Amino acid sequence: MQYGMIINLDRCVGCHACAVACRAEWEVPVEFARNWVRRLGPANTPHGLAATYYPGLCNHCTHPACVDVCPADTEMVTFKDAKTGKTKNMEVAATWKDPFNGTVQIDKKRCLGCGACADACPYGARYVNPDLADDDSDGKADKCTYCMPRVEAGLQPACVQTCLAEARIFGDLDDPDSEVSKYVKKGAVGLTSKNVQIGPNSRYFGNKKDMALLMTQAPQEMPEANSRRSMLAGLIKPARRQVKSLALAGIAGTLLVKSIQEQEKK
Amino acid sequence: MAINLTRRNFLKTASIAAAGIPLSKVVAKAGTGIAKAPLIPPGSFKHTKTVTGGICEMCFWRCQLVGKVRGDRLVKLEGNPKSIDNGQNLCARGNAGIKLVYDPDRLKYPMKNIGKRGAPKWQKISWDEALNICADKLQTTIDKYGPKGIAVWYHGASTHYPNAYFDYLGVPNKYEPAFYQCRGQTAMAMMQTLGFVPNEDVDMPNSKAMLLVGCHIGENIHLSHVKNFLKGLENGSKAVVVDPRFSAAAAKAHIWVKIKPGMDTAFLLGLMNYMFDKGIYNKSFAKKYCLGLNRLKKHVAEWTVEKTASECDIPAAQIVEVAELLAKNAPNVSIHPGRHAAWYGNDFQRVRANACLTAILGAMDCPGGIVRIKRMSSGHVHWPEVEHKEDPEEMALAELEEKFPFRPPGTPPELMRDTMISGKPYPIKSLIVWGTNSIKTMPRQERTEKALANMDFILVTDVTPTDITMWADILLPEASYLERYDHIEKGTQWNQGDTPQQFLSARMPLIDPMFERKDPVWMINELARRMGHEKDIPVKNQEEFVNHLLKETGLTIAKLRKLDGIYIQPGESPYLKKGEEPKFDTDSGKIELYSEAMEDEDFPALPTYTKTAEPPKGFARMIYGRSPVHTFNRTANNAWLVREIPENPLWINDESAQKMGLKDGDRVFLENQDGKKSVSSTVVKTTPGIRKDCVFIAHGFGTFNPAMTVGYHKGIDDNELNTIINREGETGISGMRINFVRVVKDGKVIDIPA
Amino acid sequence: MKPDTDFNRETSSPSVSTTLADIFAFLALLMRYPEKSFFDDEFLDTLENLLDKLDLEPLRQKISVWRSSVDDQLLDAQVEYTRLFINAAPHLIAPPYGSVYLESERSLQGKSTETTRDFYRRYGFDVVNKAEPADHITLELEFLSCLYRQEEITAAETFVRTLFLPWFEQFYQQLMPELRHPLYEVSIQLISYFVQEDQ
Repeated sequence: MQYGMIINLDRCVGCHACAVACRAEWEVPVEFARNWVRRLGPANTPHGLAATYYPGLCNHCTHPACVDVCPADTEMVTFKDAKTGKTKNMEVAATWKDPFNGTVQIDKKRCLGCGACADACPYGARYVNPDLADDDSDGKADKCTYCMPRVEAGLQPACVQTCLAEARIFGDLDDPDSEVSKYVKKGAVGLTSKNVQIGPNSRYFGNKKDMALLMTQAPQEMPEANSRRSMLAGLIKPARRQVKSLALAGIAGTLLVKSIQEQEKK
Repeated sequence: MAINLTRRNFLKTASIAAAGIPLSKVVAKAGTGIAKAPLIPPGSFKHTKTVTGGICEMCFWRCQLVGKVRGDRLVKLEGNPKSIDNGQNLCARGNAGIKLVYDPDRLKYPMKNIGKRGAPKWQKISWDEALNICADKLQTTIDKYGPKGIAVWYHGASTHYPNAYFDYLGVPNKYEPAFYQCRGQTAMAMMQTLGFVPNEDVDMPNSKAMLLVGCHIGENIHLSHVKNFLKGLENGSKAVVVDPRFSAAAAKAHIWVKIKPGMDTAFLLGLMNYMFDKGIYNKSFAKKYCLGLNRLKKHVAEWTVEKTASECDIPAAQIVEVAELLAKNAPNVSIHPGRHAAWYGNDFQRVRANACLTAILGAMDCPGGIVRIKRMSSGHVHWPEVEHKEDPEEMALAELEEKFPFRPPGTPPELMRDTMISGKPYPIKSLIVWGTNSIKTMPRQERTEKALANMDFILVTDVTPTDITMWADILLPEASYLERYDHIEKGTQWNQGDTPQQFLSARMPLIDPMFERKDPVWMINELARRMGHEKDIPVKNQEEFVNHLLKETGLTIAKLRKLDGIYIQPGESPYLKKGEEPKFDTDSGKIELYSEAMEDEDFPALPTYTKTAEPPKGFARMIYGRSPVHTFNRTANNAWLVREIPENPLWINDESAQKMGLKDGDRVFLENQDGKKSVSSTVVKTTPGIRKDCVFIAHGFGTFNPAMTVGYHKGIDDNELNTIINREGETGISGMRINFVRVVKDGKVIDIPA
Repeated sequence: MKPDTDFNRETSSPSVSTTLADIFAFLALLMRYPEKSFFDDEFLDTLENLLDKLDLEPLRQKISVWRSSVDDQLLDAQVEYTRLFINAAPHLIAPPYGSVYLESERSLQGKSTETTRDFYRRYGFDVVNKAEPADHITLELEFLSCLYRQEEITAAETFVRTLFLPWFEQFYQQLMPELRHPLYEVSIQLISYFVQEDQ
């Protein structure tokens, strides 16, 4: 199974509802986006004057660039197929590609917030969310999950549900009878280029001129691997712990009143 | 500045109690805001309840909503799954409603301006004090000048009840931008020609061709309307979009008619002439139901394909192509009546031409045509009829001056503003502004400011601190559409081709209002009480108000609540049955291509094109439109929407831009033909998708009240550049595409080449 | 931390926690919209008295000078309160709600408001007037007062550290350039003084 999303540009009117519904659903801070709309044109294309939109989101790639760069310690995790109940054990870092539904997910508890994955994504689909900062990090990596918690509850992804144009279709690309597969057969493609071929599973369908304009948005190069960043992240982790315990020592001052109380009890 | 003493030292020196400071005494006097409550464990993240009965008012299409509420907090808005109109869908604005509710800049308490109008200094006051002042000031105006001394500017569903009260008071002059800066001509000219107002009830899904003259579908996201347009395209309907700009609709159209601005009437007359000439119009329909067919034929004869092509600056072949397409598919063609029509100051005639084209194609009451959608009806609330010394209808300015016989309901705003300044024919000394940012709606803002300065008293009620609120003497905070009862929404399934159904929904609050925000029924009743009208109050509260509106339907708020907010019943198809005759509620009972009533009032009896002024050298016409995530200036402070589209890029033809040395992203100001320069700036967007004789910006930007911290000075306010006013005689409505601009970059004025 | 013997001796009275409760309740009042019901000479005398006990003579003098130079102190305080905290032209200076600062976008009733209210509830308190968001500075200060009155000192310290200080510091920064009015200049400094960690 490989979940995927089709965006039909023939239908999309660029209303931005998807982006805002996603923001509301997941309380995404206003400076970031899991779901975005870029307004393209009017501009000349080889097929005529065109104006269209680039509604973007995580591509849950078949060969994700963001997974292997994660410096978090790996852990054995048991994955479960929602349909069959089959399980599979896999050694994963804080982000992985689900062996059953094909989505790329993040374990926020284990994420170090280093941002290496965000740097690795050629689509800019990931960000480090400072609202999720904890004592170990300045934030956590975050992105579109294909609304898995909603899907598991039997709902559509928030962006699909709100789309007035019915331009977004969600489903299993491995199922040849699914609507998304039918679109792929009709020619829906991901945003790829000569040097960026990582199997995006969010795909676009539209007429020639709109697709020509959309393809100007395809990333042309893979981001340079920033191994230094992820290495640093690994180093920083124990350091942070140390800082944290120092900070706790400092806080002793605020516990003063309490200690008075204890003195009194004596 | 910082206190150089630690708390530890303080505690060391003395306990405060011991020092004899009567802290607890002072504190006890004030009471506390926190009380003991049963210990409830915090709810989990997902635990929300679904509250039904919401009706959106981020724009005026009024989609049906549900709210996801956790504790006291509205977490998310979604389309009501029961809706047969918008379904579970909402647009960006609908989704962003919670940002309006929780905007910290929103008005929270009644406030009194103890500074100057336009440069206010606010004191939070109690409702009692605020309403006492309002009652006193309004009564003083009435005592001195009669109710005609009060003027009302209003907009939106919340003004239903207040307006009923102002009618009871005998206020003769009221103005609503929805008519006078938007739909006035569309409604009135259609009424005059067809005998009904089609609004935008045009059956696009079931059409074979669609003609959109300057419509903003796709930029003006009216949800089910956009669905209709898209369904039409999906069903193979051929769309023709007539616009100087490659609009969102044009991008989806089969034919883009890149018309010269101001020439739309000529284009429509040219289409009709070609159809008459070739005999391809809907002859049987036209003969049977239209009055003045031959006169119209003769009248449009001058608009040959060649002349139309040259005046409109479009290829002759395109006129033929469009005319043939429409005629071939008649009557199943959607000649869109349009919505916003206040363009060039000759717009009544354009809408008349549009109605005539619809008529000669017979494109009504049938699949694809204009349809008379059969909706349920609901009631009104009236205050008791009272005798006034002066009949308010006779005292209305347009009536008194015998002007603008085809005006929409209310008084033309500029007429009212002139009177507020001159005091002639009588003084207007108090102004009530309810839910409209009129500084942004009326052209020539300095005149509006002058009128405001002349008032003895200004009361403003709003949700957010819009620009006009800076001029209030008393400013009242209104509960938003998510926090009150009011509007009754009635409609049908969105696609008229589907099984006919009717629905009715009443707006119910999804959450309680915060702070001291109040609903309009409460406000007006409290005001009425203070003005000695307690015995005439028709409904006690907002729930009673809505139940009163629902009376004739047999529904109540309680019943609607049980139905998840929406009542649905079988409906009636809007298409004529076989053998059924259409009826037209005009003087003659026919469609009036030729209008005697218009002739009687000395207006052209047949739709007539009048020239609009050309841009002076170095200038281009400023045309404006909508941004898909904003509703005029109402959403300017919504952080989520501003994130999506923060300003209104200036569309300028790419070849012109190159000559001017402009590139995408350059920051520019605009200056109009009278030397008026925009206060704020915007970015340049160069594109082949606009003509060289005009530039385009979306309306609603360039907020100038700094209290709107998100929207302040983002983009350019098109309206501040509207210094030319051209009121058409039929309606008193001024066009707003009759001003011309050039670009100012880095302090340098740059002419726009022709 | 080195035990401070003086300190222990001087504060061996059982009223430390009660005193803090009183102080926080008073601070809460300072941050409430000034109303006739409590904002009177006695209230301002108390403030001066407190400043005096704190050895903050320059601040006390500011209050005293203001009181003698302004006829209608209530109106003057109301207008300034409205400007700083409610709605103002040219614009609202610093909305006194935690969520406006704790979350990356300015908003009332944010995630942190829920957290704050949950904290109240965990200790058996809730907001009486639901029309005010739970994280209004006055409510948070009152809550602290309530905790001190119940001798929930650890809870109070945790609340200050995790929910109050993180936003109060930004709030203070935002207010600073606009803190021209002696009453609010002093009030904010007093709050700052009572919630800052001792160095």
